[in-house]
Amino acid sequence: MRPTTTNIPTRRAILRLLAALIGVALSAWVSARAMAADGRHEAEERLERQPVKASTWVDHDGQPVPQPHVSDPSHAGHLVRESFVEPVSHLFDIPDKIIWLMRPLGVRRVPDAPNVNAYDEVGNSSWFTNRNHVRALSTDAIREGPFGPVRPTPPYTIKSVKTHGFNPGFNMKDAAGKRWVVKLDRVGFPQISSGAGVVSSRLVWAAGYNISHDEAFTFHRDELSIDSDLVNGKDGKKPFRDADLEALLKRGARTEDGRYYASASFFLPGTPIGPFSFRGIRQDDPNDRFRHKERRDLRGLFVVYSWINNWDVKDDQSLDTFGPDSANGHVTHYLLDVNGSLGAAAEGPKPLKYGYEQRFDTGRILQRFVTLGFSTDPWRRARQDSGIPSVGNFEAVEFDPADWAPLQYMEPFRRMTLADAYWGAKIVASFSNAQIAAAVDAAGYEDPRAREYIQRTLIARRDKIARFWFARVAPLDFFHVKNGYLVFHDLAVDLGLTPERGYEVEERGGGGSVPVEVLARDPRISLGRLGRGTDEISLKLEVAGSHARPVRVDLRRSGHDWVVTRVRHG
Amino acid sequence: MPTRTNHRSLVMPAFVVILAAIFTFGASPSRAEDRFGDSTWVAPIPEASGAPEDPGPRVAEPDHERTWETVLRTPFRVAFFPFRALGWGLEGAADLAEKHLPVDELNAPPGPPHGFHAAPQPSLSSNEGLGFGVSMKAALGVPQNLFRSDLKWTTKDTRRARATFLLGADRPVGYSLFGLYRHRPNRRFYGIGNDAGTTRTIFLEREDEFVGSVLVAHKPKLNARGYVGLSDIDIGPGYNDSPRSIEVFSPAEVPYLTRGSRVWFVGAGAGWASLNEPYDPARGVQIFGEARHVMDADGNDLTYEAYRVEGRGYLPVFADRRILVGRAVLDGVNPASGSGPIPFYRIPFSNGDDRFSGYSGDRFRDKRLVILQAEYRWLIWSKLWAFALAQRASVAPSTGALRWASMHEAYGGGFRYRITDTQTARLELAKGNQGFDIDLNLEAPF
Repeated sequence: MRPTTTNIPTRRAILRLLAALIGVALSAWVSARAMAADGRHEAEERLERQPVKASTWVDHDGQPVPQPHVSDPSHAGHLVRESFVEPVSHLFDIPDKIIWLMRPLGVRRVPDAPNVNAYDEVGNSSWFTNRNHVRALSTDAIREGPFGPVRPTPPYTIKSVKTHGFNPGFNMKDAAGKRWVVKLDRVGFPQISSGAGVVSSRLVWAAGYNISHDEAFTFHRDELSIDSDLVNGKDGKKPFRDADLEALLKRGARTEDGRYYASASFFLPGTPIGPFSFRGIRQDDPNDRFRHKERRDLRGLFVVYSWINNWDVKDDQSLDTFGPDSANGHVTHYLLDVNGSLGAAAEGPKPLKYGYEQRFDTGRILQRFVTLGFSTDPWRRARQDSGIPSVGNFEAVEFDPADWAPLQYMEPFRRMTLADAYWGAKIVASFSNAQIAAAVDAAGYEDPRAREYIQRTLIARRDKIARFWFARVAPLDFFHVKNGYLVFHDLAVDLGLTPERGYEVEERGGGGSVPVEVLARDPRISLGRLGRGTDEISLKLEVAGSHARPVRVDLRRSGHDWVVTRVRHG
Repeated sequence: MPTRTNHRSLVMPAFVVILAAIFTFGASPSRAEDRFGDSTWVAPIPEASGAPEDPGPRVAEPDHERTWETVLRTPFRVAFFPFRALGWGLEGAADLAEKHLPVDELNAPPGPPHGFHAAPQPSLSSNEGLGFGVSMKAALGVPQNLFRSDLKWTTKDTRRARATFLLGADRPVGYSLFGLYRHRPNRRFYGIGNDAGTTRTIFLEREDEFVGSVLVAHKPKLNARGYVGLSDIDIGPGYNDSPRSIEVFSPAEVPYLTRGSRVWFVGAGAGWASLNEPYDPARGVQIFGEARHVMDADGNDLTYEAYRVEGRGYLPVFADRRILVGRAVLDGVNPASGSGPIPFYRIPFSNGDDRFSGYSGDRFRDKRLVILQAEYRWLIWSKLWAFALAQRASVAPSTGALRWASMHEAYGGGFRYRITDTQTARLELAKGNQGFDIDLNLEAPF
């Protein structure tokens, strides 16, 4: 049927109105984007002018920027990528193999980490703070953790229910108004997951990383109430009532007097803007200038995680927050949820394979295929069962620092160089037995065997890590000039891993090799006879009789003395 | 002698004094500093001053991929782009699945599955093409009463619909009703007998089947059932391939080449297993048997008995992840005295559960079918096993005509993956007397 003439103006009017509305909405959206882009553009321009200083101990990446968008990556997509697509892609990465073949020509397969200062250290930043390996933390500080002496205080109000992950749990507000994410330990395994989370988060924080503050605690059903909005199912959400709470709590481990074992993770300050990627930069954060896969703090995290056996690594186990306020805000990068570490998994003791083999481990699969299944996997050899319900499967004998495997090899781990590994090992090695004991104490294990077992295993794994990586990179560090001598520490000797030993030093750039006096007991090099006729010298230091990669130290004359200008390990 | 003694008595104290001096003064410079790894360690480097939020320098310029590396990688990035796109597709599919497929809520009360579940069920085979399907499952009032169904259509116009009602899944005696509709326009036929020719022909087979069963002790370890059913098969010239069976064979040599048949059947079957675990066993034995009496329902003068016996054995090779598996199958039909010939599409054939390795599906058919198979399986990842197999299989007009020497021999290997407790996918490459054959089966019986 043809439209009547009276219909035409009406339709036209409607169309015009629609067009106008769309136009207004579009222009508003474009303006908003433009304003945001303007703010970002202004920040980018401002930060492009930020000076660069290789010797800085603080990488000033906390400059005010507009708030980046909230990222909400797909968990399943991430798992497919990291567990399957990337391992297969890496297997067929032909340019990578070509570059590997070019090594004899001096080509590095992976470039050096860009966020390393002149002294081969990572400066303090929104990612990392130099802590235990440069200034030992007190045992009290380690026991208290990232945010000091803060613990959940009853009574608690459940604000929402956890719907993802393996562990049942909820978000709650305590009597002090603090908000926590609570996860229950599984029936039969009290403190296994909550304890692992507390111990590991204390150690990761003391190592220098930003991480959530976890506390292991117990609560009674009577201390819980459900927020009325949750009971009524506000905003279209499924109502959560007492019966639902009872069903949830049934899945948690309990004390004899009916208290539930759980971990509580303190809500981080700032506005959450989603996890960070372990690969590229956050495009809308002008402070973020180093690709994450190349950051030393993320590459070296492999060694720290291998120590605590934090097998569950993925983008989702991280969080960026924006703060302190929108006008002067910047992004802070946190690691999250290390409950799947030591001998624990969400469901109780970790599966035996975890920590020894990736989810889709092409190397191991091929090995088993070619050997008709007769190769013995390390996780089968290892005696992992501690026999302690709150510990699970954790051991140090079969643990191999280089072969340790998270469930999926994140890109920074795949790109870790010897220098990165040495840096990570140095951090791990910096923990004293007393500090490790303090971290374990923080979990408050009720089973005395658990405390002793975890402490002993962590110490053994620490020593194994130090011996392994310090045998591959000369652990000579903390170079400084004192009274005409270049003084340094042999970390392996300091730790008592090896007796005092000799060193070989070669001067480069100053006319070839020059015999240099080095005192074994008090490692130092007399600079008096070096660098004659030049203001700059470069030394290559090796441990005598060792195949460990050398350390290169550059010095520059400053007045009558010398100053260290650059250190590079491996 | 006394003098010497005095001399020694002077040397020892002096030595001790010197040692003490060395330890006191000589060692003091190194001990003055804290040792790395102590709880009191302070590195001889300046303490960082200021915070990242303060104005100040960055440690380096923004980093980028090395220029020469970009040049090296670019051609490979272009060449491998389709694979990269495939990877993105997989990630995107996982993302979509996460967002749109129903998942059990973490904090839902534990218990048996309830409600309605549906899942896509793709398939792929050279004979049927790319298949699109959906499987559905629903609890009927109580979780013990189940409805299961699947629907499939393929690009070569194969159609299938199946539905099962199971009542009393957890009771000692349960009941089931099963219905099937199947339309296969290019069913393969090579002729009858162990020496059938290599020419592949096709015919249309359209099948309707209804079965009512009484299930006794229907568990993996022991199960038995009695049933009664009706099967109606229509035959026609096939399409989607060539040549057609009627162009190559004559009705005189192939019974019911151009005719359908409708039959009633009544039968009983039983299975017994002693296995270390029901779905992916490494140790134990398993036996199934079934007998069926079939009689015409359309006046075609057809009565026969059908039977099938299968045995499986599993033996670990020092560990449950390496196992030797043996399998023997005997399938047969016997026409009753006075009965007409059995339709060619109702006699045993090498397909599905009884496919001969190294040969196309449906390659052989006759009144007897026997398979003897040995496999070495080894676990290579999660639920993925590799296997090497050797098989001898044959069809014959009678049991007495089965000969070891005339059996078809095949060697090969492949992979099998347990998708769910009751569904196993199997990719097999085997070489028979007539060359290689590859088979992907998403519902492998073995």
